[in-house]
Amino acid sequence: MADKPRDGWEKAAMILQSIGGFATASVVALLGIAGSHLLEKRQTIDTNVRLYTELMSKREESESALRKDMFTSIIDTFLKPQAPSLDVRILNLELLAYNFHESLNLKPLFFNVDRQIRQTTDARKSEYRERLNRVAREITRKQMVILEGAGMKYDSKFKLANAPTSKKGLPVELEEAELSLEGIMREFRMYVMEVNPETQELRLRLEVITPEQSSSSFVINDVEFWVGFYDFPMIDHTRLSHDQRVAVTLSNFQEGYANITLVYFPGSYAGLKEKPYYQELVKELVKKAGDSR
Amino acid sequence: MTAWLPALVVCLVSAPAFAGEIRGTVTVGGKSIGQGIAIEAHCGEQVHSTSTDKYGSYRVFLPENGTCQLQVLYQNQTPSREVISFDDSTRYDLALEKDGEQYVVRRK
Repeated sequence: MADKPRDGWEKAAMILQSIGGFATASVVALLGIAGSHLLEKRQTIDTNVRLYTELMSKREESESALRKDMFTSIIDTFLKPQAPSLDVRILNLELLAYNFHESLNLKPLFFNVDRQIRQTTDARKSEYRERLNRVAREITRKQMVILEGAGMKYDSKFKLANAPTSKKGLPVELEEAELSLEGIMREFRMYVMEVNPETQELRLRLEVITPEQSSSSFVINDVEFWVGFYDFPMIDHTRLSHDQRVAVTLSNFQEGYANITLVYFPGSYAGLKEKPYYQELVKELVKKAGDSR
Repeated sequence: MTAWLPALVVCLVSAPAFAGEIRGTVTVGGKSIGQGIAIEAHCGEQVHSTSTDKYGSYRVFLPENGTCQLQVLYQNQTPSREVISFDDSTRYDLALEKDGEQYVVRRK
């Protein structure tokens, strides 16, 4: 029986079969190559991230150790019974302030040195005062630049002669400010309760009015505090709800006027000394997770 | 000398002396009482008046330390309560509550 010649369909089937086999093998090979390449890439990224994290944490560790040593040696000079000269004390305070102003409340040290300058009979008294004031103002300015960038500010000026110099005077009401941050609108009212011209400080009452969900109810919180040139806003501020902060700084106290600035900023910009409220953190995380869904 | 001495005496006598400030908020049914509600502090023969702002908050300055009656003039009624004025500012957050037909003032 003679072989029946193959028709076109059979020939095509044979060719397609062999092409199919070849194509399958090629796809499997390609997938393997691509898979291994992807894995290799991911491994490289993981390794780089791990290396970067290790480097960063080592750097952080060594920086912390350096800062700790520096801090201990500077602070010791203030606590030693035999105090160094005023010049050295101011130098140490400058070092502390420029390096640790975001982590420590240096107001007590500033006050201490300020008191010593007042009492000294040294011929360089005015130079010391200028140095102390310069460092305090520079730190305030540096912190304000950061906080103003992240939050909202309000400047106010008032005549010192109008403000009481004792508890018994009539408080001066400053113009109110309505500021909005992260969708929360608050009204801030400031009253100058007392002025101390000698220490160049003001006793302020700050009222913070926060509307609640229904428009007809409000929460009014008030706080009274002294503010002077040694109050740094990142460290010395008032905590508000929704992890927000408000601080008041004194920028000028001369020629019969005082300039104050209120800054309303997110809590994440507060100084390092602050202990977080874990309940608030958890709430915020839960809210963020809910929002992202 | 003799010309400005009487003027100085007049100035000293007429200069306002403030003992303390009484301040706070007034609410009705847990909500702000609203703007423009008259508040009066009766201290002996003296009456010191103020009114609430849009948040229902008020502040009044009293020239003497001691006890005064703080009155809220609301819906033709004058519920009141005792307040004490000190040298410093004192906060009295007040809540108006109905006792029968009459409003009474409670400190929050």
